[in-house]
Amino acid sequence: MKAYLKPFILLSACFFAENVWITLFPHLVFSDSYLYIPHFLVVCIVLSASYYDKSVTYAFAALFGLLFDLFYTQVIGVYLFTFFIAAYFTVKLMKVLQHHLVVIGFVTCLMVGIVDILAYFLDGLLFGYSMQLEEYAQLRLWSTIVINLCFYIVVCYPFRRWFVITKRQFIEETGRR
Amino acid sequence: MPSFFLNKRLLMLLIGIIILVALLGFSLRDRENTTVPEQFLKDIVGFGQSIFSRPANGVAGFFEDVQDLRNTYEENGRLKAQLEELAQLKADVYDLKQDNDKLREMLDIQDNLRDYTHIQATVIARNPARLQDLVVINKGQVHGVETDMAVRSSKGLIGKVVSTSQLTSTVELVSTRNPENRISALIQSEDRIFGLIEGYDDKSDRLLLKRIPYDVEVKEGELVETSGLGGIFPAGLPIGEVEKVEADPLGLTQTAYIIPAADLYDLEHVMVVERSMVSPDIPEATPEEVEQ
Repeated sequence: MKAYLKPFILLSACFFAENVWITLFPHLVFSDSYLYIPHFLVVCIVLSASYYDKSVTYAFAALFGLLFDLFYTQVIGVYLFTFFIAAYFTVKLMKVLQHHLVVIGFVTCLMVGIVDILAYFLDGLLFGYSMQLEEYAQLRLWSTIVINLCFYIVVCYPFRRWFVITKRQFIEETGRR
Repeated sequence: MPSFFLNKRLLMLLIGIIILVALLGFSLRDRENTTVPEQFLKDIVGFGQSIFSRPANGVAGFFEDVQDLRNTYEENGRLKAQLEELAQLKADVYDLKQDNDKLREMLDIQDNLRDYTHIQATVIARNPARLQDLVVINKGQVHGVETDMAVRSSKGLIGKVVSTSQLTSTVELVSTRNPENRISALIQSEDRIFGLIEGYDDKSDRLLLKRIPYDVEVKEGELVETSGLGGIFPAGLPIGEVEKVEADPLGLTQTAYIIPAADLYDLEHVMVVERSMVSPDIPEATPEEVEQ
């Protein structure tokens, strides 16, 4: 039970942290120039997929994607899908890559980019595009990846520690590897 | 061909995409109200969110206060000048209100589009991805919030309620890209000019007031408010002021660019406005009538 509760707490914290970010720095998210969109959940999902159990990560990626959709948008499915895709790709990538914090940092950048691009396209299909692709790439994509990489650098050590310790408990509890 | 269906990964992907499309379709239908499980999840998340949002708002408020302190002196001078005018304005408004009430009594008019009651609420969350302009407030069905109610800040209209759960509601801001979001508006000039707020210009952060007849002259700086004719909002909520007017390509109507009165980016305390006057509904048949 503990083994499921601990990642849940961590992901919840990231979920709420995204909104705290907006409250503290509204001018970073709602400006006419660069947009710094927080995707802290994706960062946490990538770390969880790298250092924790994959099936638990899939379940939580889907769950938090669903919660995100329910709470912030009127459309269910967009983030559910993109978070799950991010978790899936990370698990597949980590099978061939080295488990090193720098490598996972690159993977994080990639996943944040994938999630943001997918969300942009899906949203555009449903409601019409808010900005042209070129403008999107210039003003939103790079800055979003950079800000989430900063978040990753801040949290990667404590999160890794947390996940590695919890993973041991998880193996003791379930016997799965 | 059988090997294709035996490929587990491809099959999973197909099923995933089908589920995605099904969910999107389900939620894009025009839903009167969200389902009970959705409401339940929303309320739980909302509860957690409000615990976090209060301290965050406090910290953000503190930094704003520090910013404000820096230009207090100039502001003070300006405000003093405004205060003197305000006393006169207050007296005038009081006189007019008394006058208005008396005249209404004489004519025996009961209904008024301008009457409304409001519910105080706090913004607890905003879509961080910024793809749709939605905010979540901490009042829901329990407090009497219903869909389609107007929401305003102290300065002016900010949007309308699009979905409610028991303890939270979702508000769509006027800056949304949703083409179905239209507000019947009125320009306060010599002759009252009506139009519809349709859409928002992201580049310049202006609301677009469309369908103004081609032969009326709209001046810059004129104030725009809700007209109450849409049947949803009460009349007289300030929307903003006219910045410039352009003729439409077809030349039959004009479009005015409106500077929103409310700050749409720095939202904390808002009011949900409930119109007192009921729109005419088709009365439902009573059981006795049905029997006849």
